[in-house]
Amino acid sequence: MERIPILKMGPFLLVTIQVDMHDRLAQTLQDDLAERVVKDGSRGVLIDISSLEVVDSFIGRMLARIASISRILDAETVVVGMQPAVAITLVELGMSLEGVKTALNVEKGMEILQRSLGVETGGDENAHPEN
Amino acid sequence: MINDILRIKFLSERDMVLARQRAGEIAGLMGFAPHDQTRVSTAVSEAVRDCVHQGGLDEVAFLARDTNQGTLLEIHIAAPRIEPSRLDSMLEKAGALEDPLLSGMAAAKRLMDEFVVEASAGGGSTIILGRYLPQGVRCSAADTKKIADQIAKREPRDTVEEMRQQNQELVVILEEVRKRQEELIELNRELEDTNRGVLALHVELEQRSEQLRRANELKTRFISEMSHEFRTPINSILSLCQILLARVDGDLTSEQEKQIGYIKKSADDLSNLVNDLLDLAKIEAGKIEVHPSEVDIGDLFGALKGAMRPLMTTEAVRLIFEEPSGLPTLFTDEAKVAQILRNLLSNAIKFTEHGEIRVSAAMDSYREMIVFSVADTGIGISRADQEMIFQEFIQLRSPIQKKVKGTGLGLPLSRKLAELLGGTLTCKSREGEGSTFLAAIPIRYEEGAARKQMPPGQEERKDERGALLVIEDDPDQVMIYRKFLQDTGFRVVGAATLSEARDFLSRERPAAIILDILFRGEPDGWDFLSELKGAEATKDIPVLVVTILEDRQKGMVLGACDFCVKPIERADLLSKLNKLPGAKKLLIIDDEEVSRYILRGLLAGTSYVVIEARSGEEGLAKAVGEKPDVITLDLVMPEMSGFEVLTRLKADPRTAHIPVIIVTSKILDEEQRRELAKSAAGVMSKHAGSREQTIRQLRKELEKIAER
Repeated sequence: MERIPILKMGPFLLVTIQVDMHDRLAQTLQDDLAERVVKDGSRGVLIDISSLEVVDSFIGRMLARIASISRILDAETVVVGMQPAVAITLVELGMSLEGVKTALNVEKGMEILQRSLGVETGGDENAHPEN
Repeated sequence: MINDILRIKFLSERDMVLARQRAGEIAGLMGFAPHDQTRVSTAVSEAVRDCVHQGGLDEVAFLARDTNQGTLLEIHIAAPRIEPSRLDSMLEKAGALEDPLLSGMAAAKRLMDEFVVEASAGGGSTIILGRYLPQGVRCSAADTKKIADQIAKREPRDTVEEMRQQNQELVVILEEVRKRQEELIELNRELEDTNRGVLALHVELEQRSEQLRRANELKTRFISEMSHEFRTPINSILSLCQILLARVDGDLTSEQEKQIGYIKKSADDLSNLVNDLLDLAKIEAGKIEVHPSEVDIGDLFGALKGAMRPLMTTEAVRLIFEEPSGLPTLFTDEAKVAQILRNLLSNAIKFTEHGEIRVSAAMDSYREMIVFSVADTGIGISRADQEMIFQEFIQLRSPIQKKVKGTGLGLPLSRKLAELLGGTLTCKSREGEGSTFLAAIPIRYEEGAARKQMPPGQEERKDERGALLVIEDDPDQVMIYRKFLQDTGFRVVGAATLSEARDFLSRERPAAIILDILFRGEPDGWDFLSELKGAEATKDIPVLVVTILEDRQKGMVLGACDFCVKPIERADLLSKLNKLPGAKKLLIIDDEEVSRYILRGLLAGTSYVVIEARSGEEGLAKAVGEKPDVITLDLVMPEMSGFEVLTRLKADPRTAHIPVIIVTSKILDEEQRRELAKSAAGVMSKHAGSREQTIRQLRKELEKIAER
């Protein structure tokens, strides 16, 4: 079965969506992520959508749902690499991706995730020195 | 103007991805800005998804439309299972911008410039999304075509997509195949319909041809029946006229003679008309026979000249026969050629008031034909009428036409006769300048392969009663016999010596022999008589001994059938010759008194004793009672037909041996002829030109019987 690969990076899960997802695939990704968050005890999910040229209401809502589910499962979600045209369209659609943190690229997204991890744990040794 | 770019058959949910990808790509190729590409792509995705969820869709089509606001990219989504009203209700949610349940339709509407829901013809809806190219960017038909090609060739991104694309193509092809098949089925149905029509037409044609065949049969039967009806009275009139004119029943006053002459003339005309009609009908029915023989053109012209002279009533017209030279002898039916030329000549004479009529013959060696030409300086025939004149009963209007009479059958009959002989009859004419009719007749008539041998003897074959061999060394005596026997039906053949006589006998069997006994310087005739009677081939030939010796007894003993002493009288000779085979009884079975009367008259001069019967029944009784030697039988009689009488005669052992001559004016068809030929000794037509001809024919038939 067709699946979007989910990579584990320390406490985070990294998803790079490189294909234009059909709805079922998006649904599967949402389920898979929820499962992996629980299984790996991940604290953050980073979804790279830089390859996506289209994010329609369904995918938009899917992203929002992943963020909500992850939050409930104690993980932060950051969507990175959204193309400007996609952003414009989403706005025009009236989708604001509430509850979904966004970042310009993976690097910035990781920063967000690590920061949130540091904030949450207070003086964690693993925290980034700059925090 | 609308140009197709791409059509995507919608098979599964996954095609939604394909649709939105292609939407983006097409938008990009058309010149939309990147965010517009995403917009279009997203709108397609939204609309398609809603359709998928609401009942499915069949196809997503991309088109470019030229409008005065610029080029419009249109996306048509065919959703046959979604009613427009349902889509309308979904669009109502468009107001709530932040609604997370914002419908895809509403979203698509928001993203695009145009959004229309149309009710499809076959039920369901078509959703049309439209987006205008930015100002200043135009996409021509050629561009569109290029884009369509590019899209079609687009490399699939991965194997799954490739499969999907191939799947897509397959589906399109399948769809096309299905359409073709439908077209074929439709075509097949049309063909079947046509075929049915053709069959119906065929049946109708067959019916028509059957009708025509029946009509033609009816016509032939009518003619055959009418011929009897017409010919019997006409022949009776003619025969009676002849009897009257021959003063058989006493003298006529000159007035009476003139009147009877007129009656005869009219009856002749009528008879000719009926004959022409019958000839035409017979040719059409293929019943006319060709009797080919050697024909010398010079002789033919000579005979025609004689025949035509009485018709030349005016001095202003000269009839010229050009002397034929260097032409071969024809082998064809002389009577028919003569008939053609007679017709042409009598026409020429009719329509020429002054000038000349020129008859000539020329060789057409290429076609192996003799072309007879009859050229006149008469009124001529206009080009338009030249073919018409060959049609039956057509007569052209002209001042002369009113004066002269005709049946309108002459030319069609002539043409048919010429064709029967394998030739043609054509006409060249200019109005006012005269006409030339050309009858081309093949030199050799092809059908008659069996060429008749001319008899080796030089004696003229004038008559049908047969040869009468006169063995007589005195040429004056032979001359006398010839004179005596003129017009009696005998052909007198003289033999001055016995060896000449033997020579003749080896070639031909004479009807009778007149034998002289005394020959100068040769063994006498007695020995020859015994020789004749002793030989199987000649013993039945009646021999009449005519000599100066008075030894009747010796002659009779040796087998002569009669004995005369010179000098012999004509009447005596005739009666003896007539009695040669012995007196015979002839029974006439005919219901018509006129016919019996005529026949009786014909037989008056012969050796036959005539008995008459008025009906078939009476005839049968007399055939038994009177034991006639010959019976003449009419075919068409009330109560019992001639056919039945014949059958019964042949079935009765007492009468079966009596030869029967059918004498009828009925036109017989081939089958009847064959049927009659089996049991009848001869068939003779009541119609005959002259009394002499009839007598001759009857004698010929009787002679044939006597020879058996």
